[in-house]
Amino acid sequence: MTSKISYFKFIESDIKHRGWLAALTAAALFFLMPISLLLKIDGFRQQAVLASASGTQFLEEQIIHYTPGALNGIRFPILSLMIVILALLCAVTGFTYLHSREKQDFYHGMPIKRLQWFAISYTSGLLIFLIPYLLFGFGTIVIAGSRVSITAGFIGQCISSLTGGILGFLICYHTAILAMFLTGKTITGVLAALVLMIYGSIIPTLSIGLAQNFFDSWSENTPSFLLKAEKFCSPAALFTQTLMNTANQNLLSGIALGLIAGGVLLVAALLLCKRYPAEASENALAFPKSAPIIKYLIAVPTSLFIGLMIQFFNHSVSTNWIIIFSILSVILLCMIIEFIYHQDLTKLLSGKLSTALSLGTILIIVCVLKFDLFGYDTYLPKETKLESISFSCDQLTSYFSYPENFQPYVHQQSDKDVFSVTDYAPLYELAGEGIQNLKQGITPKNVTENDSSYGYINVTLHYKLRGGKNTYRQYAVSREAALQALTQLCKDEDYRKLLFPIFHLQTDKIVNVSLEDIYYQPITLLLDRKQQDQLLEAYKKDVLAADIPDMQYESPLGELSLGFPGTHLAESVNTVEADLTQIDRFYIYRSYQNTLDKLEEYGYPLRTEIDPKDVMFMTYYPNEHSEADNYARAEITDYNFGEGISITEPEEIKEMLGRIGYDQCNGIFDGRITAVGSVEITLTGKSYPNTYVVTK
Amino acid sequence: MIELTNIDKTFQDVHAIDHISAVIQDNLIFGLVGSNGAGKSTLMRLIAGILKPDGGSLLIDGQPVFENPAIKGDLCFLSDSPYFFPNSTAASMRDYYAMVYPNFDQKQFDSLAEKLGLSFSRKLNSFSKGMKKQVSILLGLCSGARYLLCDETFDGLDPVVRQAVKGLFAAELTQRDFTPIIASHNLRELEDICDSIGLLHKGKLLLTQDLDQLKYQVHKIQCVLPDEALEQQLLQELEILHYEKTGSLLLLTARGTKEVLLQCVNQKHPVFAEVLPLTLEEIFISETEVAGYDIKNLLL
Repeated sequence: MTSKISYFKFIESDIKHRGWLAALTAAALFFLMPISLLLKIDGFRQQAVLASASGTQFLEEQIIHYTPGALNGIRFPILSLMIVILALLCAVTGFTYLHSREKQDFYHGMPIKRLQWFAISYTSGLLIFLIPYLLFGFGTIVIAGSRVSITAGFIGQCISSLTGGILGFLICYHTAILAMFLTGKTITGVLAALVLMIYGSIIPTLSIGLAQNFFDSWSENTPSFLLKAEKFCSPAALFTQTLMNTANQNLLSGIALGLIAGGVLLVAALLLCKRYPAEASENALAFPKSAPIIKYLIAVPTSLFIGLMIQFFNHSVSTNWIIIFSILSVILLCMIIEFIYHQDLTKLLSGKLSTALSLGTILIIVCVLKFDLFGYDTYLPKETKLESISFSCDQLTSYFSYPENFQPYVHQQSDKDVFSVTDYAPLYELAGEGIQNLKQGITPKNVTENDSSYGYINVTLHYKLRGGKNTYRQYAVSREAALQALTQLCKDEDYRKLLFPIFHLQTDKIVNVSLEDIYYQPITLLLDRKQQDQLLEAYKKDVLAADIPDMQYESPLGELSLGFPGTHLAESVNTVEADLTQIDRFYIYRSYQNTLDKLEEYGYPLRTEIDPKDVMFMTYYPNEHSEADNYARAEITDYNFGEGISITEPEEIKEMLGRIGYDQCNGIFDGRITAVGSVEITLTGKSYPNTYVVTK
Repeated sequence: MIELTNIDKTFQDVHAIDHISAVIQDNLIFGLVGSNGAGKSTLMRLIAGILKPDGGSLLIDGQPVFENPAIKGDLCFLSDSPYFFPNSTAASMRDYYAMVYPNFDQKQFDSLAEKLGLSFSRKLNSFSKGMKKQVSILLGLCSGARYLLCDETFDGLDPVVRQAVKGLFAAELTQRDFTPIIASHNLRELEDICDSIGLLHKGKLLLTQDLDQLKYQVHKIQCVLPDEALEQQLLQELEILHYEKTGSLLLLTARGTKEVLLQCVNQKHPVFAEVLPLTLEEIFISETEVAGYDIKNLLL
């Protein structure tokens, strides 16, 4: 038996034999960790100079924000890529002896067990990475620490990130080792490692891609298990998740994820190590009986993926190309795989059974998808099985501005469920119309891509079934039908409170209220807290009483916008610019009498028309498409078309002013305004013009 | 003692070792001969514990060898194409073997390497094939292992070194508990060194026998008998393995000791008679012919 001292000597000897790798690892990590941070800090310093007074604080904030993520590469992708490459190199160089008969004779002829060799190669490979990674990692922390006020939190986050880097390395390292034990040639080992790294993520991605292309009612909002699985079902995804979690203070989940993933892969590699046949060396696969299974597992998804990719790059709508190229690809791939197995061109057509099975599977899949054999598009849950339905569409999201989209209000995707209703009859009816439309060829894809579908909008329905299952479908429905359904739903005050953002706000946090009318000159209302609260209460009262169709067919008179301190868009990471954020789109309609009265009372009457005296210049741009298309919308491309017609006569100016309104809102479901053109109006005292849609 | 009982090994569609049973006695040089592809290397790799048998048992001193470091410490396998670490030297390989084999004799290695003129500082990848083989043999010899498995070890050695190595093997045998097992396709190579022989053909072991015993039991007789009737009588009395007649000269290969065969021939009042020793090659050709194998064209 090999003693513990011998282990040390063997590991030392193995590291010496892989000296080039140790040198490469040290050099790469040196440049990608401390040197890279120094360069980055220099960049921050230059930005800090521009930030003038808050320069030092800015520099510190940037270093604190950047450093933890840079230690494992989540904010410095070159480092994370290098971790993957080094893991692959450590595994390949450590276990390449499996793929050479001479080396196997040498190693396995010696009085050392296979698991002991595994432990020696494994440990030395790990140390080759770990020693320089930790050394330069702590060096990087010291560099960062010398420029910021060190806190325990910062150090903890850095150590968490370093731990994540190590766990990420282990995930890739174990995957590559597993691949080496599955193969008999180093080149196939490397290929297998790459396939293993991403294979698990390809399946959900592929499923989503195929569903998107073949099913008209597929909803991108679907938070299906496939989307969740995509994040966890491949080593590459787990690697990313581990780096992200550990760099973002989710230490426990990051470590747990890394340990579980790394542990499972290591156990798999150890099991294969015990069973790896010495005679496998110099064969493509270590276990020849698995060859047809591996061929099938690779050929089927890859050929579908190729079909999808070709269709994607071809920008084609037709799914026929996916079918044709998937079938061609599966045949070609089977031949390529057989060539890899045998390295013999005369055996390209061997493995006929597995080729036939692969081809058969592709044909079954494309038939199921093409002819919707399982009735995906026509699926409508039975009412007895339904618990609730919720409803969303892009137009609503554009019409409203929800505070949940802004930090520090945390917006969760599941918040859309707040719109779900148990009295779902209007939505059920809407779904029925959607399915009928699908049968008649009016699909969400057509509505998005086809100009002739302006009368329709895409809606997403979320069916919550009694068993807890959630199903999403997207349909193209007429605006009128959607409006009718929403009107029905809004008869319920609770629903209305959920739908309108004004009821989502914590009014005590609002620091100012601005008003914008047809003059497009936002005015900050000088109100005391009581007046502000009264105004907002009046607005809420109006909203609860408002007629929903008015929001589609009427133009608002103006809008309120509300200011919050220290808020910023959830997607934004630049906190420096986020001292105050205005949340707008609180539209005021003619029927909002309470609000209008309060504004009048506080000295801010809403102007609904532009006084001709205020007009300095006016230029009219007719919409060339408006005659041919009754639904032509006031798109920005319509503005400033051609040279424009200058209007100078007072009568003409007055007449034109009568045809414009506050047009920042195009209806709750969009598509309200039928534009015949646009007009640019430069108001007195302004150096730039406002642009308005001109209606008939 | 190495005991092989019904050992079997198949590589995909190749039956490399076909239910072999044999015993290799300690402190004797065992030669494993056979044509190319006969399964010699596979059998050696099985004995060395590199390959796991599909069936049967392979015991060394009563214990299985596969994944048994205690037993494998007593054997050293020298592959037909030895592996050395990249950029290694004879000295660095010596140190590595010393780490693996606790009984490695470094002094002996240094002394023998010096005698063979092998440089310690020169990179092994700059050595010739023969020099690499010499280093490999020295590593194996000095490992202190009781069983030294040599696969085509003499290939690539010049005649002088080959003799020197044979001498080293003989010397080791006298000094310690040592059992070399030498696999080769060259019978002449093994004739003057092996104590016992095993013949492999197409994965099957045709025979294993003590070489002296084999030579003692089979002889070649040249004789001229006075008439044909006596010739027929002689052929019936002897266990003939091979028979040829050129003119009146009879050439027989027959089983039996020299004395018995000569006595039998002399009873027929030969005009001329003599008993000649057989080469190993001739014995194997005769034996394998009897066994129904036509391997004349396979053996050198």
